[in-house]
This record gives sequence, C-alpha cells and structure tokens, in this order.
Amino acid sequence: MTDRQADLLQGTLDLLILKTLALGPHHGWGVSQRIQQMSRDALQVNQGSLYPALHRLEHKGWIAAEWGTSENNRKAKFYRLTKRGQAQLDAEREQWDRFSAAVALILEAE
Amino acid sequence: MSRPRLWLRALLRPRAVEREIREELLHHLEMETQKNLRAGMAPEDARRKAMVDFGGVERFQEQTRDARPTRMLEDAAKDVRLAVRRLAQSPGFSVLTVVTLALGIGATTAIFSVVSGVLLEPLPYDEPGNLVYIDSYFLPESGFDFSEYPVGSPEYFDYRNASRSMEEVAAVSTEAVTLTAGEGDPEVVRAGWVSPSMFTVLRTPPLLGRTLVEADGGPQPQAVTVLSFDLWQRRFGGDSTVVGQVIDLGVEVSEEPLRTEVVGVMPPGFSHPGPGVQLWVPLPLDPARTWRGGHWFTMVGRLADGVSFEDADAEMKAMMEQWAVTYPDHHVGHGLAMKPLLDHEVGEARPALLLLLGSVAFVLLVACANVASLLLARGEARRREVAVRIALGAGRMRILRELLTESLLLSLAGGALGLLLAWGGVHLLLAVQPGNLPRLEGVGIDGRVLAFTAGAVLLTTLLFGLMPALKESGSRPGDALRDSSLRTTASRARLRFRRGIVVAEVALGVLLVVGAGLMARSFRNLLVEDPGFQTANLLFARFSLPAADYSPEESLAFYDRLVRETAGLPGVVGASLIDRPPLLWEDQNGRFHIEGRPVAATAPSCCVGSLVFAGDGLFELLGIPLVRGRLFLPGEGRPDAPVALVDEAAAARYWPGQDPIGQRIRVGDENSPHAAVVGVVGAVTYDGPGVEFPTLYFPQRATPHFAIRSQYLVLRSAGDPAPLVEGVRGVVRAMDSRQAVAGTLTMKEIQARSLARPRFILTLLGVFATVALVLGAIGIYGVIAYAVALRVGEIGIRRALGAKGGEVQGMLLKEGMVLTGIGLALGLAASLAGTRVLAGFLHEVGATDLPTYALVGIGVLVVGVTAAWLPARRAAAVDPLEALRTP
Repeated sequence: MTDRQADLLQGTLDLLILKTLALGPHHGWGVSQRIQQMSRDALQVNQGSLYPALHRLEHKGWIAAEWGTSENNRKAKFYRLTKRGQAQLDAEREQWDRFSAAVALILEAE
Repeated sequence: MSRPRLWLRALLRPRAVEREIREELLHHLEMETQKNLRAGMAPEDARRKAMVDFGGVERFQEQTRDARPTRMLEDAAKDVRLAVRRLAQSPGFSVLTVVTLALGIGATTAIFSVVSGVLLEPLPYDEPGNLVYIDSYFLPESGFDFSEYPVGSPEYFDYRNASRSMEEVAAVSTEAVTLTAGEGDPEVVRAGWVSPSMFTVLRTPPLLGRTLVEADGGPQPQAVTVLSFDLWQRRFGGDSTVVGQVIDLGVEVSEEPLRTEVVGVMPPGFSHPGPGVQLWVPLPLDPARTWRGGHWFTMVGRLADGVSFEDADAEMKAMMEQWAVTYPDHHVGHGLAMKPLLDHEVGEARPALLLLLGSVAFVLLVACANVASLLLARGEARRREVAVRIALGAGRMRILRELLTESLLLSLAGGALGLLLAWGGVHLLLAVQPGNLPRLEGVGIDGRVLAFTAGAVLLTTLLFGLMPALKESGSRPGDALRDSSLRTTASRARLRFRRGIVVAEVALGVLLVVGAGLMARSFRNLLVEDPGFQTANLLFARFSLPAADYSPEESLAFYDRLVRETAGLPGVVGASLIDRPPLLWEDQNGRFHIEGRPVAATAPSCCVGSLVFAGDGLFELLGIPLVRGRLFLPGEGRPDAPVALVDEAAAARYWPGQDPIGQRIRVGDENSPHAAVVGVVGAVTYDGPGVEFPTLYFPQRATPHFAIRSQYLVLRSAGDPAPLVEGVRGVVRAMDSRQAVAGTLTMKEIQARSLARPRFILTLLGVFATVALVLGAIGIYGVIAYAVALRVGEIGIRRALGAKGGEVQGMLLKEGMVLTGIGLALGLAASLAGTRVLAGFLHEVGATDLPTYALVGIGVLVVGVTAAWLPARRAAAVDPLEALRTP
C-alpha cells in the first residue's frame, strides 16, 4: 500500500488485523502474510503501518502478546485476539457493513 | 500482559521495551529475507530487497514507539531525569530557588492557616451563621459610656416576647463553683448559669442523658445540672452511671449548697460561652421582675428561618427607640445590640491577625520577585545553548517542555519543603501563641491556603521560567550565537527588568522592617512602663469560698487567718488581700456616685470607676505610694463608718483642682451608705498596660456580702515566688480540707500574659522582616552579579585601558547602592503612607517615628552594600585578557 492508502485505511487496518487474529494467533510478519494471502495479494500491508497498529491494539487491550518461537526457530512476539478484541471486532464489523452499504446506495443512485 | 502492566513497563523499563521492538522488527526482516530466499533470490539480494521493502529499522522503531500511548509519559519521565541532572549542575541556583520558594510558601501557609482557623472557620454549632450575640451598651447621653455591658432580665423578657426575628434567645452567664464530687481534690471550676433555651439555640445534642429543658428554668429553677465532656472524664472517669447522681455545688452567691442532679453530659468540644465552662445550671429568671437597673448576663440567639442578620438588627434598633420612649429612666442612650456570634468570639483578635496576614503577603511577593529574578538570570545564561539547539533542529515544543519540567521540579521541591516549613511553623505558632487568641483548637494546615499559595508561586515560576524559552525559541538563533553582552537591546531590557524587580523587593522589605521596628519600640515602651507599683516577686492566689460553708463573718475570719498564717511561711516578706490583681482584669464596669453631683439619666450614679477592695497593709505591700491624706487603718471598714481611697486618675478626672479628701461617695443604689474619702494614692494600671482608669479603693472588710467570699491572697517573697504555692496549699488544707486554691499566678506570669499579644506580633514581624531582608540581599547580589556577567567585555576593556580594580569595583558598588537607595526611598515613602494601619497596635510610638525610620534606612543601605560587594569585588578581579577573549 502506498502511504496515502495507508492513511485512509488506518481504521480499516485495525479491523483487518483483528479479523486475522480471530482466525488464529500470529506474529507480526505472519499477520502481514495472512492479510496478503486472504485478500489474494490485493492488500499488502506496509510494515510502517503494521507494527504501530499492533502496538496500539495491544495497548488498547484488544489483542494480547506473548513471546514464543517462530517457524524458523527465532524468538518472536505472537499476538492473539482477546475477548474484548472479539467484541470490538464484532462492533467494527457491523460498522463497516453499514458504512459500505451506505456507500453502495449512493453509488447506485441515479 | 495486562494493560496496567504494559503501562508500568513502558514507564519503568523503557530500554527493555525498546529492545523488544527492535527484536520484533528484526524478526520481521528475517522472515521477509527467508521468503525472498525461498522465492529463489540470492542471499544478499534477498536481504537487500527485504530491507528496501522494510524501509529502515530505525525509522520504524521511531514510528512504532511514537504510536504507543505511553509515549507521553515515557517522554515526561525522560524529561524529568534530564531536568534533575541539569539542575544538579547548577546547585547554587537550584538551592536558592527552592529555598526561596519554600520560605514563601511555608510562611504564608502557616500564618494563613492560623488566620483561617480562627477567623474563617465556622463555629462548632449547627448552622452557626444564624447565631448572634446580644449585650447592651451605654452611650454618653445616658451618663455612662460603655460599649459592652451585660443585660438584665426585664430586657431579656421584653425582647424575647416582642422580637419576631429570632427563633429563640437564651441568657448566658458564668460563675465560679467549688466542686467536691467525683475524684480528685476540691476544685473551683467555671459553671454556666444559663436559661435552658441556650441548648435550644445552639442545638447540640447531649452525649448522655438530656440537656436542660424549659421546665427546668423559671424564677425557681430545678436543681439539675449538665456536665461537660472534660469534667465527666476528669472527675467521673467517663462512667455512664453519672446520670442520676446527685452532686453538691458550692456557690458564692447562694446561702445553701446547690444540691443538683446530673441529668446529662455534653459531647467533647462543647463549652459555650467559653473554653473553661465545665457544667451548666439553670439561671433563675423571673418575668415578674421589673427593675431595669440590674444587668448580669449576656444573651445568645438564633435567627428565625429566612431572617437575615440585617433584618434582625434593624428590628432591634427600632425596638430600642421604642424603649427609650417607654422607659425614659432607663433606656435613653442604653439598649441592646447584637452582632454575629463569630464576630464576638474572634473580634478582638481580628486586627492582629489581618496585620500578620498583610505582612506575610509581602513576604510572599518578595519571594516571588526573587524567584523571578533568579529564573531570568538562568534563562539568560542558557540563551546561547538554546539558540544552538534550535539551530541544530530541536523542536520548540521540546525545549519548552524541558524548561517547563525544570520549572515544575523546582516548584514541587520548593512546595514540598514549604509544606514542611508550614507544618513546623503552625506547630511553632501554636506553641508560642499568646494564649488569648481564640479558637486555636481547630487550627491546622489548611488545604485552601496551601492550594492558593502553591498556585501563586507555581505561577510565578512557570511564567518566568518559560519567558526566556518563549522569547528564545521565537528569536533568530544568530542573535544569541553572536557576541551577546549589552549590545543587544534584549539583554539591556532584561537587565532593566531585573533591576526593577530588585528595587520592588527592597521597597517591600523596607516596609516590613519599618513595621517590625515600630512594633519593637512600642513593645519596649510597654516593657519599661511603670505600672504604678512594685512588681518583683509577687504571687497571687485565688480563693472562692462556698456560701454553704462560710457565712460572711466566717469568710472574713478565714481570710484573716489565711493572711496571718501565710505571712509566716518561710521566704514570705508580706501578705495581704485584694479582690483582683493589677494588670489582669479587663473589666471597667464600676459605677459610683459622688454626693452632691447630678445623677445620670439611667442609674443612680454619676461617675464610672473601677472598684478595688484592699486588705490590711496592701498599699505598703504592693508599694503603691500615698499622695495625700492617709491610708486605711487596720481593721477599718465596718459598715457604720465607711471610708474610701481614690487614686490620682480619679482625682484628676472628678476633682480637678480640688481636694477629694472629705468628699463622700457611694456605690450602689440610693440606699447604700456614703463613704468618706480619706486619701489619694498613686495610679495603678489595673486594666492592662497603658490604661489609666479612675480607681476607688475600699477596705476589704467593706466588701458586699455577695462578693466577700472571693479574694486573692497577695504574697511578696524574698526570692522566686513560685515555690510558695505548695506552702499556701498546705496552709489551706490545714485550715479547711474542703476548700481549694482556685488558681495561682505570679506577677511575672501576669505581666507576660498582658504582653503576650504584642510580643507575639513583634516576633512574627521580626521574622518576616528578616526573611524579607535576606531575600532582598540575595536579589541585589543576583542583579549585580548578573550585571557583571553581562558587562564582562566592557569591564575587560576598561581594565585594559588602565582602570584599576578599585575603580571598577567602585563603579559596581555605586550601582548597587543606587538600586538599594531607590528601593529604600520607595519603601520609606510607602511606610509613611501605610503604617497608619499599625497605629492601633503601637503604644506611645508615632507611626512616623523618626529614629526608627533613620535606623531602618541605615540598616538597609548597609545590607545593600554588603550584598553588592562580593560581585563587585569579583569584577575587580577580572583579568582583562580573559574578559576580552570571552565571546
């Protein structure tokens, strides 16, 4: 993503991270790979946005972190979704649905 | 990890957190590299691509760090650490600032706490704002002139029945009673003789049992009593079975012992009307009494709902006008007056406390000025550093924040130290307080005050700490980086400003010193004033015999024997009796009549004067000189041949140019006997230093029966009189074990008590003046040192051109003198204008007392010279080459 896109989608990035972690715990790199995968390469998260976002979400208590060993036997910080994060995810999901529906309505208007 | 832990970790272990971020980012880089490798790139390419994509670990570290919400706190913690290091680097400045702040905050808080506790704290009763104190007054048109006088029962009942402004009123008076019940020796305590409505007015519920009720009162009251908490604890051990006990109260004025049943105990802290009252008994009040000439109690009342003090006061004034018409014999120029109860309890102390408050405000101003000056100097010193940093790209906000942190640290340190000083100061004040400041029980560090003072000083610190930063961060760095010295107008302006501050400091300091000086002279006048008698080695012991045990004749015999036996004690030079000791009494209520003079409108007497009943040999014992005529003969004073002595003050006022000897005077109503004046004695200040009131003397034997049981034994000893107390107690115990010595006082204690308030004020003013002077000296020192620092270049040039060290020193000394001189002049001018406010406290010293002003002037100039001398000398020692080289 370019910087401009990153700015626009900061809120959305949070949503994507939460959703990714809802499917299972990952370390930072893992999250970026998963997002890329799941969007079929359409979204590539800029590391400059990812880590600040992860730390922000951790401080908000929506995700929790633990140090563990990654696939290549190196120490890595693993994130998982917390219960509050799950609730936040549901809330943001609903918001996103309403927002995109509203945009769709406008775009379809004659 | 939970959120609180995250925050704590970020604050306390920032480096560990940074490391983790770095590791996490490096891990990401590693994974990306691996991915590129798997995709078939060569190792270096793989890594390079990963790094390019990543964009630089450092930058991301910054960004990630920035995103954390704990960032602000982490930065703040860092700023604090840096600020502490900075301040430690200039210990002189830091210590001076903190000490100045502490002095300002500490002194103000301590004094204001006392003032607030005494003047502002509400009384310990329910809705105390609605309580009023009522007494009476006599205007000159009534023939007398008393601003405060008790009230009589017809006045009480008339007011109670007619007033619509009061919810309830009560009659309050006190008497001494002898108590034998409970544990401990027989004791004489103060008892409240009150109408039961007092408890209704004050609304304090009892701790045990009940208070007095309406049914207890009346013309023949019930024999009940309510005890105070202190008495209950002290003599009855806090035993709750005290309610229902019957105790005997020995009373002077009643022929029978008062056998009363205890019906209740009041909670701690309740002791209306004064701190020594230990129990309450119903006051006999007869609505049928119509003689309006007797006055023996005061009143307290509660305003009715919705009625303001002004309304009640207006109603009372209107009522008094009515009374003057209805009772012209009694109420022309005489009536009731009310004031809020709080005013009555503290009114006397108010002027002194306000004076102290004003002084301490000055000290605070001086302290703030000093801090401002110190901070300006420091700001100046760091201009270059700040400019360099700005040139190198430091953000304005960052620099501001650092300066702010430094200022805050200083304020906090100064505030904490000041709080300690204040706490110590309050305790010190309570320990040395003169004993006649009311309501000191509730005084402690007041939160309001602390907040105000700390706020004021903080404001100054922040303002002057930030000013240089705000100025610098706006200016062009080039200015500061170039040679500063006096060529920049900004520096010159700052120097002028600092000079102005110092002049103001000196002026304020002078004000305080003048005030202290005037008080000191006044105090000395009080000390050396001749009270009219010999004060050395005197002891006064108070007695109060209950009527149940002693008839009037028996009382006389008791006191005669007491004098004889105590005169024989070892170390006693002489003994006699007096009904009240000199310098102690504050009661100027006596009235008497001179035969042949016209009577006053409201009473059967023409004149006012204090009445003193003197035992045999009293005048010789006390050393009161005889001026004309003769003294009383031993045994004189029987009712068939009454005699009297007058003092010089009475003679001067009532018989100017005449001989009072042979004149006949009478005390009491028309039926009282007339006494012949047989002599004139010297005036004695009975009523406090400096007060001369006409005084009449009667022989002790002539004391009216209702007062004869209460006397003071006067002893003069060869040495210190204090050890005699035991001997006196022994004599009394041997004579009658049921009686007690009600209290003892040495003349020294009485004198100390009468001088206590002026001494207290003087001490405090002295302390303030010293503090102000010290701070002013620091200010002058600072400004001269600052001037030297700024003009180093100029000084170097002068020296290089041949000026001697002495000349340079003289130039700077002169500058210091000029500053001091201007400050002094301003201060003296302000003193002349303002010390009028001290006039009420000064005894025989004018507020424009020349010697004091002269002394202050010289003193302040000396201080100024001393303060300027050190930096001036340093200027003289400046090496010209060094000076020219320093940019």
